Amino acid sequence: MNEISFNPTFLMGEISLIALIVILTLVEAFQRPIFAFFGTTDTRELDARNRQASRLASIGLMFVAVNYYIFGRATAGEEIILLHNSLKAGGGMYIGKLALMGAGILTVLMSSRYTLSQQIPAMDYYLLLCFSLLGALTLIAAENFLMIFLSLEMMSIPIYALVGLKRLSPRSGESAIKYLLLGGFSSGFLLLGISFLYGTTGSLVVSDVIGRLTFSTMDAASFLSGLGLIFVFIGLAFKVSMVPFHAWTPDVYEGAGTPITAFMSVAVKLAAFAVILKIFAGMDSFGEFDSVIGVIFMFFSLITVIYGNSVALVQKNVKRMLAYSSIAHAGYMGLALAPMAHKIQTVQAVLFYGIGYIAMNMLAFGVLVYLTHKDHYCETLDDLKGIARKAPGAAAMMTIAMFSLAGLPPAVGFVGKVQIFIQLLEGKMYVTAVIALLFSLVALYFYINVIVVMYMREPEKEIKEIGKQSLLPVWLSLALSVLVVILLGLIPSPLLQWSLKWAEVLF
Amino acid sequence: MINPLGDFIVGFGGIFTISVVLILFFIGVATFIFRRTLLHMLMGVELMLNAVNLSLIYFSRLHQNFDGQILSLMIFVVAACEVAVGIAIIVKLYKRTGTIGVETYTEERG
Repeated sequence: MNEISFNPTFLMGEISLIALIVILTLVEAFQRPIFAFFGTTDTRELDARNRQASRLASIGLMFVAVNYYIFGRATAGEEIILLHNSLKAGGGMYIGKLALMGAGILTVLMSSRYTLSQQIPAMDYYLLLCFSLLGALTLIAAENFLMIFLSLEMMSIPIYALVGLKRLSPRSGESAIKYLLLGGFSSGFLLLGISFLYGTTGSLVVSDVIGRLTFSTMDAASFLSGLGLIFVFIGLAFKVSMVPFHAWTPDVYEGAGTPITAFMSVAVKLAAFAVILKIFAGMDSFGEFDSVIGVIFMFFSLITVIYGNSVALVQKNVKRMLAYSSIAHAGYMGLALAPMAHKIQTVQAVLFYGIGYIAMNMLAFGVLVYLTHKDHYCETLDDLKGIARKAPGAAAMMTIAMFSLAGLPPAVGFVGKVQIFIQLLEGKMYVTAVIALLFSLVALYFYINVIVVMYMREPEKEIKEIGKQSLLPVWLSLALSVLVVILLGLIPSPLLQWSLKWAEVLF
Repeated sequence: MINPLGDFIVGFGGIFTISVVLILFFIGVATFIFRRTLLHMLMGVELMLNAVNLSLIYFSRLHQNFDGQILSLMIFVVAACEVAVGIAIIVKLYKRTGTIGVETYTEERG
């Protein structure tokens, strides 16, 4: 690993994303003359502007991803640390960044319909989304607690605003303020933890901090650094919504616009999990404190799985149900850390699960976006009744998503869960594995219930025609994510190798 | 590796500073939990962040490097951003409901 002060090819993804942000800002500022130049008839109308903005943002973000796909591939061979121990780049980080960009692209594609139907000013929306994506990209690369904090906030603050941007719903403001206040509260804890770790070690670089921590004697220093680690864990557990730090999740997921919910539930979760893995799983210098951390992870993940899956059983609202299901999935990802064997395979399993979860959750939320139009919210189970007759394609997609989320064979969710359980069994945690397995059987009920409702129930009221506006991008996003879900379920080995490479970078 | 905390945690300055930091921080937590208006909760968060700033500056001086001070400057910036977004959302809510009490905003449950 060689220290180079600055090498732009390694940050190609971030740089091109920043360029896109600058372009979007300029277009937003000079919207009317630019759109008039390209021959839009009525520049004042929100719909027309939204259409242009969606086109620009989705093409731009795809360009960014393709750019990174081409230039980043060359950097995947070596890893370097950039900008004075702030960012790590290269190596298997490539796949993580591509996955996050993929999540961003899918979100933008499905947003084109949603911003139209909900009358959201699209340009602001895409700008905030790009900022949040930039934060997620730097968060997984962060090598330094300063960078971790900054990227975490750069990822979260735009999302606070995005949650509140849904104009037509009175609830979105409430959700936004709830998320903002609890987010600030949790980053307070994260920062207190960071300051204690800095106090005991005198450094902000993650590897230095973990390397210098000593837990040999129970003196004040060990106490302070233990406290610091616990506070850091609390701050990050909030972001991935582990029980008991999950209280915001269902309300915020329900109140936010559906594409934002999708983005929040996958990108934020994966990025925050990458940081958790970096701090807690990568190094093995916690000494005898190691098993304690393992027990903490096992305890919190297990109650997360139990709570998420059992509360999801009684939900009538699909978005709320998916919120509890995302809590449960965070629990599954955390469970892999319970053995605390510091094996690279553990990290690999979690990362694989996280990437697979991007595809399947995007698919589920994409179907909800597809079925929502101007005066028809598709959010509850009642809205889904008999939808298979009206929209057979969407119902089939939803079925695949539910199969994958439940962890049934042909989809990526199955492979992910198998990986997690293999880690648990290799760590000889049989009881934990059995409880987790039992609750994933419980989870079958509410996932299958959605399919049953779609195919076998009569609709209570006449289902309106699916609106025709901007259907193509939504179909594109659905097709992309269903392809990924099925392909990764059938041929998981390439992604498994890539996530192993990513795990090597995090170690 | 020599444990640097061994020297100062026993000293009066270390104990004093860490106690002040913790007291300030948990006053912030208590404000957040017990004051039931949105602005007070935002202020509680700010107090928590400033307690952290104090501790970072103390540790930065102790270790004779600037990492902590730089982080505390960054915290100022981020806290300002958070307040800007927060106040905007609170104003929006106030326009809709005419109050900033938390009790109004507990429609969502479950």
